[in-house]
Amino acid sequence: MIRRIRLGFVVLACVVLQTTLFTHLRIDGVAPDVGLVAVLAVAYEDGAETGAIYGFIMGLCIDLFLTTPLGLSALSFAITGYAVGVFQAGVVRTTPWLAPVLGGVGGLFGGLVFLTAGAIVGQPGFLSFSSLRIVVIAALYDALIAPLVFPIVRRAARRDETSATWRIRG
Amino acid sequence: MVVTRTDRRRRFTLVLLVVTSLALVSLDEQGSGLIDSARTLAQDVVAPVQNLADDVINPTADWFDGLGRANELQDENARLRSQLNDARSEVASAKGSLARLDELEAILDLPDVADADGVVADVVTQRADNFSRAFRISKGSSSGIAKNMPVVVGAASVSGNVRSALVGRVASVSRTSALVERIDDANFGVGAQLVQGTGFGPKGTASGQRGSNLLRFSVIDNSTTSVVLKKGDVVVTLGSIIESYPPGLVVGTIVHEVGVSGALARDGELRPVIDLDSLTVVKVLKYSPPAIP
Repeated sequence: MIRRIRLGFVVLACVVLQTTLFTHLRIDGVAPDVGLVAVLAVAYEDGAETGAIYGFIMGLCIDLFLTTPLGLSALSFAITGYAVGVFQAGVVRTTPWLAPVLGGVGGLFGGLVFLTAGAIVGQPGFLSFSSLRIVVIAALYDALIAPLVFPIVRRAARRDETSATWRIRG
Repeated sequence: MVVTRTDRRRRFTLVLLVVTSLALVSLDEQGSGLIDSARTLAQDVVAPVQNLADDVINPTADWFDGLGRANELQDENARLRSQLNDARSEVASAKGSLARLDELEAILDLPDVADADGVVADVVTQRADNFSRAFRISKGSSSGIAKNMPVVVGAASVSGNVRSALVGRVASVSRTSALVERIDDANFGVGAQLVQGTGFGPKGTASGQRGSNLLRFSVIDNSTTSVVLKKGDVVVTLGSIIESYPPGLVVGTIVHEVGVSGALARDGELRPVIDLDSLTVVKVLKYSPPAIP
């Protein structure tokens, strides 16, 4: 229960940061997808199913503050969360490079899913070089912020172990 | 390969989420009132936190912008000086068209912006994502703002009259804030008309383009072979009865013609008369289109 509340706060924080702070911190006019990076961290921590569900919720919440159709970010975040969860099952050990690599590759994958889904539902100009350029820059930016976002979100996503923890008898 | 029950459940969950997402996209594209209400509710809930964050972030960001851009501003200054001469010729041409527009409106007795009640609002933040062009303003439904209302700023002073320039439309609204879709967003489109020579020129549409700050003006006219789009020509809103924009709002000036393959269309690119990235204050027009006779 507490874990869900923590993850809910992460969603709120990502929405606020995306719509306030990152509107000022653009690189070449492009902002990172802080919500997507948080989804990658949750998917890596907890697997494909949680990654997909959390991605859907995060994307839906962010969609509520955009002018693109509601459900488009939810779709791309859910698929990306699932894919990272499947990938996570095959990872044997964690390296310091994991967060930026996962942020970059996940950001690129999520961006491409977003563009493809957008083009399919009829958004004008989604399949263009300028859109591809935006996705690549955003993915690099995601890789840059991932080492900051991953530890915080993974801690929030960690399961409570109240019933199975060791206790020291006094 | 063994597919476990857990794998099947995971895949079923993903399929369910994908189908739900596509259903939501479809609903939103059709203009669902339920989704509008959800947007309003979400923006109302988050607005206090956003405002608090903006109060902290905006002054700091402005300070860093000024600090970091000292050298950049010097280069930009030189670049702008070289652009000034080009712009002067465009403005001279535009002023002629705008003055002509004033005369035409007086003759036709068209309603103008002064006839529409307006709400002045601050621009709080620019776009939040990378694929839409929108900004958030400081007033919402509690000030009488509603979805699809036109958003303008005073643009150019011609013969003592300040003509308003269209900068966008209200895309969604909450109690205390609203999201405005800019005219250069790829989903934006408005009926438009050229002001040319001795009168109004051909009619068409002005729409935003992905990956460009320029708008596209597409002439929709049977006699397109005689249409010539000249640099500096002003394009204004048509104000048709099926749109929520009053006639005569300046959309932009023609930059150059663009070749198209169809024989019945001629396109040009428009530059908005206002720098849409630097907006600080806008006016939302409570405009109602005239009733269909």
